[in-house]
Amino acid sequence: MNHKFTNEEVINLADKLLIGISEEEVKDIVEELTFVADSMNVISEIKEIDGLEPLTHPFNLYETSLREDDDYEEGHDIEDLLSNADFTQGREIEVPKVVG
Amino acid sequence: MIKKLNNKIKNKEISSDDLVKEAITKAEKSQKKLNAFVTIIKDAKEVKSNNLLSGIPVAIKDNFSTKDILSTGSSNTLKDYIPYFDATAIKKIKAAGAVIIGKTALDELGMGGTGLMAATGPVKNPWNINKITGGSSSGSAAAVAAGIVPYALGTDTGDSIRIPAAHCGIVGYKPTYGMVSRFGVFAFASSLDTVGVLCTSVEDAAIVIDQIKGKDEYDMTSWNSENINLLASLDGNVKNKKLFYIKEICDINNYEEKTNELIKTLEEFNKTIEKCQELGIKVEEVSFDQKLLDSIYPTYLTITSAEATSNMSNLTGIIFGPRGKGNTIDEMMKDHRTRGFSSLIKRRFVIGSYVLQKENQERYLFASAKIRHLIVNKMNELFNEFDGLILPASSEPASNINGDRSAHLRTEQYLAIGNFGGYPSITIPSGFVNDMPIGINITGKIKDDANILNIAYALEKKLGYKNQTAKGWE
Repeated sequence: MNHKFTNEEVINLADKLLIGISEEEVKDIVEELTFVADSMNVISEIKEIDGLEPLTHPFNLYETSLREDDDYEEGHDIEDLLSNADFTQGREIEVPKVVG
Repeated sequence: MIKKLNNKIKNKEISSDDLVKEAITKAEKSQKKLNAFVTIIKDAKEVKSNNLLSGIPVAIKDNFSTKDILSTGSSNTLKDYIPYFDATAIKKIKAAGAVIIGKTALDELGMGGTGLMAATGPVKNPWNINKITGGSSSGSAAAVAAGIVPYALGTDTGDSIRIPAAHCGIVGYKPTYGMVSRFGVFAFASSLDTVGVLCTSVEDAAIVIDQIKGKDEYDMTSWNSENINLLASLDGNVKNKKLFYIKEICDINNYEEKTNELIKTLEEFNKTIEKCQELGIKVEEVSFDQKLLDSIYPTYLTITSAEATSNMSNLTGIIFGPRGKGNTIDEMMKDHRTRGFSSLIKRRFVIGSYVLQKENQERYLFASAKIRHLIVNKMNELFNEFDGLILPASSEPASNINGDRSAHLRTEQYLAIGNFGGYPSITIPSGFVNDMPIGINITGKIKDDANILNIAYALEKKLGYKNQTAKGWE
């Protein structure tokens, strides 16, 4: 039995993501989530996945290497890093008070 | 095309300055009709270096970080973002002497497959401006197909290079995952994202990727490919190579909705198979479990939505992007994200958030990742026997901008197999259906890019659409 998605559930999920959604968007999301849920029913019928690990990367042939401890990387200029923030004060980004 | 331009520059038949100016003029003129560019770099200048790409203009998808050049990802959340560094692929292409003349539009942040979802509006197909380009590398495909630039960089997470290439009648090559560094490319779904190229010949695809590939200390998934020289591997000798196609995708009887365009596309595909055989390539039919094929799209949707939700949580408008309104920091971020993202992006994020909830992970995310594993295992087994998989790149040519896509197109996303396993995959033009170009796609085993490109190279010669661009859009 599939979970029946409600508007409240979708609005709550969007709210957690700090996203506001319109009534029409809620309707579309309920529809697509239902499609995904229905598809998972089909997937659960594919028995060959039993015992398989979830594949989170295409292949596991990554090369890792150690570097010397004395290697270091030049940092970025603070001015460069701040250049895309709309509100700054000196070397800091200005935001409303976030602590009591 | 690139070799030809390089020779002309060397022989002083044309200067790089002329080529760059011509590309900029064409790009500007094309905007009204094609809307392919987010930014045209009007003061782009000739660069001199001893390289095949030296002095030749290039366009870059707008999800690559380009130092001091607006990089928006075609999203309103980044509409004023100017990176202070170059992506590794950009660093390399600049070092090779390429001249960046513009940043191209994409479906917002790489999500979407139509070319209709850029913040700057729909991108139009140069073969018929009432048709879509496909996406998400829509502007890059249109710019190349229109003959504005000989090649453009793109990215591919499900089919974002290979579908627009097919719809625009050009070549689109997604190398093996990690062959080109992703550092500085706006992350969409990190386990699938791949940097690649759109151009008009297999030879050009080889030239460009040879220049930008390689291990990068800033991307731990990149790998050393010094022993691979794509250009040098193109000899056209493909006798006794073995390809397979998937019966369920290529058999018209398997489709409920048999559109005229689908019928013709599959007929053209069969002609391409005959041409493969004439080249001495052995082609066999392999049957796939229909349920497994049907699970590709939901698997793709689940995995990409989850990864995108996480990757793009940094788009808050606080440290970059336009600051939202509000009295608290949460209100500011919510305002920025609500106004900045399109409905499609919001939909993906909510799905991503849902499948990432602890109680849903097993049923949704892990089940999808297991399906991914099953498909990759099956493909790897087949690649032990075959050099590659050949398929129609899309089951229909580009649809109308204002039209509805056929029902079977909504759920087909077969080319995502290439991203599930990180396989090299190339689309080349293979003919026309109802006056619109179509393409075929060849996918092979990981790190076997040279072999796949060589098969495509031989087939391209046989098919006769090398260096094809659209005429008449002007």
